[in-house]
This record gives sequence, structure tokens and C-alpha cells, in this order.
Amino acid sequence: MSVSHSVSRHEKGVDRPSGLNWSGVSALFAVTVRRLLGGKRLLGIGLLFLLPALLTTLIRFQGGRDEPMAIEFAMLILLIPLSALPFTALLLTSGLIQDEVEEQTLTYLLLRPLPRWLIYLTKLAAAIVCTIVIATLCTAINLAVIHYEDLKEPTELIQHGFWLSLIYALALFAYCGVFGLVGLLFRKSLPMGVIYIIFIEGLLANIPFVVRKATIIFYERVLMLRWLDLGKKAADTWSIDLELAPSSAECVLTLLGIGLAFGIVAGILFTVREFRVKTPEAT
Amino acid sequence: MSPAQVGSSVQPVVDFEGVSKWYGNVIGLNKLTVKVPPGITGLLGPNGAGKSTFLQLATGQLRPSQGRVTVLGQRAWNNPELNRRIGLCPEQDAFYEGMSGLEFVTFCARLAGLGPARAKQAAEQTLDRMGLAAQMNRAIRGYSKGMRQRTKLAQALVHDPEVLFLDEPLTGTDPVVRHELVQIIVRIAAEGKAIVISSHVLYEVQSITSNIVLVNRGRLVAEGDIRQIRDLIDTHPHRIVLKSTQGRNLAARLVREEDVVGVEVRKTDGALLVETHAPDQFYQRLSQIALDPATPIDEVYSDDDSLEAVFKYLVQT
Repeated sequence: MSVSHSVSRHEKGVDRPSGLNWSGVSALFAVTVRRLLGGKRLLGIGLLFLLPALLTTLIRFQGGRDEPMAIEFAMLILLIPLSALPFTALLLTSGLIQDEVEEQTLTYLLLRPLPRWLIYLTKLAAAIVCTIVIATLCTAINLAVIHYEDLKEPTELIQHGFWLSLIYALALFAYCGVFGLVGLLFRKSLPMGVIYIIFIEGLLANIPFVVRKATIIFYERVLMLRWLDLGKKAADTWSIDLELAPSSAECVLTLLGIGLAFGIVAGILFTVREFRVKTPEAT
Repeated sequence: MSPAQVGSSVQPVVDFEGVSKWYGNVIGLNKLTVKVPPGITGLLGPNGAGKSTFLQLATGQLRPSQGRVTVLGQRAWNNPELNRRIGLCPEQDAFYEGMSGLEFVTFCARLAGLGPARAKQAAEQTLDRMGLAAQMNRAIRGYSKGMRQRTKLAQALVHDPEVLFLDEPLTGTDPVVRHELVQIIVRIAAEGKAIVISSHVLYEVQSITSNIVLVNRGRLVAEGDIRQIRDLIDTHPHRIVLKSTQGRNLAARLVREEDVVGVEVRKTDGALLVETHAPDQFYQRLSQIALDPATPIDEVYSDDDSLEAVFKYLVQT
């Protein structure tokens, strides 16, 4: 084994920087993104998000009736918000800390000169960025495939895609905040998240009562009605009266507020909570 | 037995004052008061003694249920600034397996606050010091046990900490790797870093340091120099082995000595096992006894000159 000479602090260029550790934050962000986008998880999420494009392609190959607006409504307006969006956020966010605990790598993060809340929020930000990028790319592919005929004049389609992606992004921001906290509160965060998606977002949001204002998908739907010009049929489907529904600004602020509030609570919880690496034996 | 404390006027690197740590109803540490001086200190105790709890408290991963933990004069729990000055080589064999050794250590250096270029440079230099220059660009998942241990050591050292905590760093390594790691640890200490090294295997530590902190069942059993500790355990007899061609005569002579508690003939080789409460006086008399033709002595050695024996004395009583 080689034994080289002792390297002094000066030679290594190691000093004790003070202030916010941006190098550490950016490194943690990059490594979190790399971990989130690696493996089979991304494949599963991609398939879920690209289901509309796959089904549309299948219908075309089978020679079935091609009704882009109907497909888009069924897939991008009804299916994706209720399935791909919350499940992607759940898969990428609930394990942010739990995976590090289970793989026993959290020690390497906690033993650094980074405030704990900043570690959490950096990882959460990485998850939010990943989910939004995945959603935006997949939405573009889905729209391109569904509206294949309209691609020659894409301006309107691009505008439509922009607003749809923005709504998805706002919803993902809120979902990531919620599921990040779920991941810190519950050891079995995935089942807890699935229960939340089915009962809160799936059932509660469809009850035309004030409690549905406690769901993320309600605000998402109001924004879709206001920004995507879906018409009365969609409003009736969801039992939403736009005269009484929150304004677009209220919806945006509510979704951002949910994400921020849950993120901050989770950051505080991560700061004060102990993460024991090893169970004490026989004491 | 009450804790054997060896006083010191040196400013402690790690200071536990009446520290208890509870995990629900389970005690991890029980009213532990100990001051760890600069240099290398061995944290010893059997499995479940509280060593990992000690290190997790000292590195600020756990919050004491009671008492106060300070490192380099600063509160340990949740103190990011202190983390600039300490390094931990954890016991668990855990990494971001897909990364190369260089990527991993560079990542740790950046987390420690070094800029990207300086972090890479520091990582390369530290891995080189660990003898991993040729392997640093390979994925960690392909590393041998020794290489993984050295990589863990490198991530703990890359930001040039003042205090280094090593949690069972030699566990699971073969004798060659163990020797290499011991050399590295001794060299790091020679550079002026304080090192706290935990182990449940005493012979591992005795080759690195004579300064030990002994814990068992969450309590401090003893601390200080191993020889001072041995002197303090006056309630336990010191065992000395004597080999003689006239064993019977020698035994008869020795049992008459006041400080000799007992003499026993070892069945395997006929050597005498002498137990005494005053080993220093006994050794002084031995030369006279040996000069007597009726009681020749061919070989003398202490049966408990090793940490192992001291450890047995201290934790089993």
C-alpha cells in the first residue's frame, strides 16, 4: 500500500469557509436528482405518464376512431391528475429521507456543516424539479401524439400545453410538500400515501361539499376549467360552479401555500428529529 | 466496581457531563461523565455497551436525554458549524454504491463546504493518502472490504477535521488490511488530530493507543492510561506466570509472601500462576528469589498485561 506524505491544510486548500454552503447545497441537489432519476422507478413513472400517448398510438394502429379532444379530456384532464401526478410525487418524495435512513447513508449528510432544514429543503426541491420536468416532458409527448394532426400549426397547441403543464407543476409542488411530510411521519409512507390519494384526492374531491377544498385536485380542476376552457361539460362532471369557485389567483396561491407550508413543517421536523443508525443491543 | 478515573489537566476534546440517553425504556448511556483528551483514545466495551450511542451523541446525531455533550467546547447536538471540525467514519458499510470512490469523497468534501475544484483536489489527495489512487475512479460497489473502509476513512478526513471519530473501523477486515488501517490511523494522529476509535476487540485498540475509555451497559467503567487503570484495580489480583524447573519449591516460597493471594500450577505446562495485589513489589523481589538456587526462574511474564485481561477484570465484576 502506498503511503504518501502528510498533506497540510494549506496544501489541500482546505480552510473553514463560513456562510451558506452553496457548494454543498448544489452537490446535494445534483446527487439527489441523480438518485431520483436512476433505476426502475423512473421507468414506472414514465409509463404511467405516457399512458395517453401509448393508448392513442394503440387506437390508431387498431384503426379505431381518433377523437383527440375526447382522448385528451379522458387522459390528460381526468386520468393524469388523479393518478400520475400524485403517484409520481409520492414515489419520488416519500423516500427522500427514508431511503437514506434505510440505506444508512443519511449519516454522511447529517455530519456536514449544513443546517438540517436546508438538507431537507434541498432534497425536496430536487424532487419537485424532477417531477415537474418529467411531467412537462411527458405532457409535451402526450399532446404531440394525441394532436398529431394539428402539429402543422402548433402555436395553439403549445399554448395549451404550457397552461396544462403549469397546472400540473402547481399540483406537483403541493403534492411533493404533502408527501415529503408523509415520508417523515410514517415508516410505511407508500401505503399511507396511496390511502391519501384514494380517499382524500379520489373520493373527497368528488363530493360537492366544502370539504373538497381540503384537496389539491379541487384547485387543479378549477384552474383547468378557468385556463383550459374545458366547457360546461367538464364543470358538470366535477360539480364545480365557476361562479362560486375560487379565483385563479386563489387557486395558485393555495397550491403554492400547501407545498410551502408542508415543506416548512417537514423541514422543522427533520431538524428536531433524531435519526438513530443502529438499535442499541442488550443494554 | 466504581469508575476508575484518571485525572488530567489537558483541555478535553470531547466532554460528556452526566449524559444519559434513553431509547424508550432502553438505556443507551447512563449518567456518563467522561472527558476525552487530545491524541488517540480507544472507546472500548462489549457489543451493546453504548459505544455507538456515545459516538452518535458526540457527533451530534443524537440529542442527550439528560446531561451535556460538548466537542471542542461546542454543543454537539444539531450544530452544523461544529461539523466543519469533526469527521466520522461510521460503522455501517453504507455508500452511494453507484458512485466511484472519487465521486463519493468529492461529494462529501463539497457537503463540507469546499468549492467543486478544491473538493475534487482534496478528495484525490485524501484517497491517495489512503492508498486508493489507482482505484478511485472505480465504482464503490466493486470495492473490497479494505477499500471500502479506507474510502469511509477518506470521507471523514477530506475536510481536514480536528477530531476524528472512528466507529469500529477495523471490524471485518483481514489482518493485512487491519495492519494498513492501523498504520493510517497512527499517521493521522501524528499529524495532530484527536481520534476517538471505538472497538469491542481489545487487541485491535491496544496496538493503536494506551489511552482508553471503557464502557459497559451504558456506564463508564474506567478511563485513562491502561497501566494506570490496571494500578487502580487493586481489588483484583494481578496474574503473573512463572516458569521454573523447581516449581514445587518456588510455589512453597511464594505462598509465604504477604502480597501473594494465591499460587496455582498450570496443568498444560506446569507453570505457576501467581496472583498478587502488589505487582510492583512482587516484581522487585523476584530477582532475589531467582538468585536462590532452590528456586530458579526461567521465564516471567504477566498474564494480564494485555487490554483483554484488564477489560475482563473491569467489565465482568
